[in-house]
Amino acid sequence: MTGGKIILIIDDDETLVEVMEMIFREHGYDVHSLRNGASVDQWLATHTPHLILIDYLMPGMNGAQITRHLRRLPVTATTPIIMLAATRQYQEHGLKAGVTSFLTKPFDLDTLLSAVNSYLNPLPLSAESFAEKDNDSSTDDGN
Amino acid sequence: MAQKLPKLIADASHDLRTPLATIKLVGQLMAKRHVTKNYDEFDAYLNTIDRKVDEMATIINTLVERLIKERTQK
Repeated sequence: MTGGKIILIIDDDETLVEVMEMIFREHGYDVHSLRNGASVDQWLATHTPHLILIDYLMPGMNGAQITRHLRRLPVTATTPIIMLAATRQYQEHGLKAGVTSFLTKPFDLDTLLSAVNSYLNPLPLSAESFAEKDNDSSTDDGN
Repeated sequence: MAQKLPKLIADASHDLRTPLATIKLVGQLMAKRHVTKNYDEFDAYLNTIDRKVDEMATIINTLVERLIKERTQK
């Protein structure tokens, strides 16, 4: 169930944003995007994101600076923030700023979806999955 | 001057990875569409890949020019 879950993408690369928007919309998410951090406060005045995907290098404030700002706001203080960071140095800056996790460009489509789904659509542990696990274990024991 | 080099390379690495990310996602989208034989937007996808490859070539050319300039200024 992804209906109603809002993803905010903050990235200055129009094409990459368009591709990610299409992918997330096809999976039922409500996707919004900003090209930089300048208008984030204005956007947050009327929206509450369930997850934020943020690039590191952008004109104006970088992803770490925007994250630091977002963590000070009650509406995004605990929102999962996934940073699209290319280097370990950028990741360290992001981590100090309060980023939840990272994706290194270029990333797989399935990796992108798994990362987002892990926060917005975690797979429930069903009785069947436990039963399957038990069966697997008993098979392993038998060998 | 020497301290600028790592940042130059770090930024170029990031700049190159962004179009690369688009190419990878679009390529994988095309693979998934191919499975379901949905070819409606393939022309647009191919055009995107072509544009992003050109963008990467421009970034590489700029990087090489700047590195040459750095070396000649030392």
